[in-house]
Amino acid sequence: MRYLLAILIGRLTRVAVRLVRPGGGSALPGLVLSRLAPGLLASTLSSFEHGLVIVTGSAGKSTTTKMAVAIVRAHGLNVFTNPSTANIEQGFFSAILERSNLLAKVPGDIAILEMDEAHAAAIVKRVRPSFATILNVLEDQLDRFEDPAFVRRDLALVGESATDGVILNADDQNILWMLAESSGMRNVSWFGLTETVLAGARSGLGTAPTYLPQLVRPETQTTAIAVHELDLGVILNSGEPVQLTLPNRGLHFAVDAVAALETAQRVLAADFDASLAVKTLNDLPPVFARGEVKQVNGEEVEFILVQNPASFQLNLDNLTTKPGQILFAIGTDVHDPSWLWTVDLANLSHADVVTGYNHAEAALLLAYHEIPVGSVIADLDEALEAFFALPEPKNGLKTVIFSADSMRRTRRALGFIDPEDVTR
Amino acid sequence: MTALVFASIFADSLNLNGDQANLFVLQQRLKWAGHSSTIAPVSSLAELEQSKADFLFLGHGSIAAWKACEAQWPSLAKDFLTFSNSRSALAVSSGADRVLAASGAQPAVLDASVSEFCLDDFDSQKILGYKNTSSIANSTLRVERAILTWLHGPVLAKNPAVADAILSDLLSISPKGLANENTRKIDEIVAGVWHLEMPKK
Repeated sequence: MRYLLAILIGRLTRVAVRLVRPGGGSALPGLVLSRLAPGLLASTLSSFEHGLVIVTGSAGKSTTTKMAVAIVRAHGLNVFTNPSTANIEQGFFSAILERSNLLAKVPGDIAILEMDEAHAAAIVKRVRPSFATILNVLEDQLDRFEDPAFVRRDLALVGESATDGVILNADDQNILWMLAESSGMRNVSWFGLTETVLAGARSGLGTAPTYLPQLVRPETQTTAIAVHELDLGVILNSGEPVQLTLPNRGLHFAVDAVAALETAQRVLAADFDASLAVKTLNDLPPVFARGEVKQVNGEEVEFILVQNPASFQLNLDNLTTKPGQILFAIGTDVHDPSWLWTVDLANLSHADVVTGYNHAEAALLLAYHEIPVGSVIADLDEALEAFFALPEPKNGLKTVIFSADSMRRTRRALGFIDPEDVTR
Repeated sequence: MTALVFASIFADSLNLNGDQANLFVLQQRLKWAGHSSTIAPVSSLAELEQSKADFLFLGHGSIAAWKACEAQWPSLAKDFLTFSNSRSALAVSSGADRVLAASGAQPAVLDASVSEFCLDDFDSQKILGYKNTSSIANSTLRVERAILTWLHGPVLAKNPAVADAILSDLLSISPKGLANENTRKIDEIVAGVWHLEMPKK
């Protein structure tokens, strides 16, 4: 009964927001609920029989979480999770609002949540996770995080708080240093790629350099041993080899897959069924806008989200065909577009339309790189209209490369309002 | 056609916000004006002297990057100042801060979590970009022939007049001599960047 009024007000806010903006507005109701019932988050996350699993790090959180959730659900557990990118405190409140009854009870056996690094560090002071999966540290959002060393510090707090175990990336020296500098973490296990697989990454995995002595890479429990296009070969922690198909091309998705598999094996322990996990991942659609291909006006269109230098670089490196037409949209989420200049744009052949709040910054970047641009259109809706009015390309697909804010606006404009409505 | 050499101190490590793109901007503007250039990465005074550089650049790095760089070249900020007694140079953000400290002046209190768009006066013109500190009155100043700016990232891309002032100094020509079809296109786009950001000021 304690949270009844807060839940009611939160739901009314959600209804009001959705009336004004169909498909949008998960942030405000969560914010309202967090103000009215700040204790609700900790009490909810502490209420699951099998505990809380936190997936955090600079990149790959959404895909890893989606994969781990799917595997655990396939094993019969009811999982509470958050929608992709809603990984800060108000996003968790929104997810609670979405799933709870009026008494604030959220059904579920376990919570598996992707969490922003800084928000995770704050939340574990109130709720200790059973497991923490820590993916990587990139030179990302430096206007927030200041320095990769500070991100390591936040991630260490998360790892130290996990009661049952920590799942770590053996191929990021930041993670090795985070553990070395921590006050200790319980039951650590590792995921990673073999040296041969890593060598296939044109620009590496984009992790931040540590400028510290190289630590010895630990032996991994779950390992990607071969990646070719979408095919991934993995040795599980039982030693069993499995073969699966990734939802997207790119080595970073292989990292996400082994992170998710190791997480699921730790969480499910003896109940883990390898063939069920493989089948689940084979059927799993991509997280929206991570190489997602959708029909727009009867035409196949690829959507690629770029959130930081590494994701921009890895996505450009993994363009398997030259996109026929490109819309390049950098929105308000890119508070400081300086990082765009750290990316090697050799694979970006052209842009038919440049748009988003930072359209001028994006156009400046492309102009200096002498990348041909069709038109620069400040208004995203007008830009989308112009782009989708272009005749279907003779070769390749229409491809939309956008930052998170432009992605949300584009999806809404195109009527893709269900984040789960993504197919292979 | 003139061929210029741009030396860049620890180019791989001191590039936290895409600062090295400033040299790319200078190279492109030079190319468009019919001149050529090369970038000489340097990590010691000996390499700097050997490079016979016309221009020296110092970027911005993480705490760990600076620690590693200064362990290898402890006098780099002082050597930067010495270089800029006679030739032009640019240092950005934490690079500028270290050079200012080496000059004996009080450095700014850098706070990289501040990423604030600002528009300031510099050399009787305006300069704009993102700075990492609110503890300095003006984001950009001159020490000897060096430009020190607390703006980070591709400052020269957004401030073509400053880029051309550097190049015209290096080539001993008027900035007007650098104008061409490409720079005019850039000017139009930069006007859009300035227009977008100006109301915030």
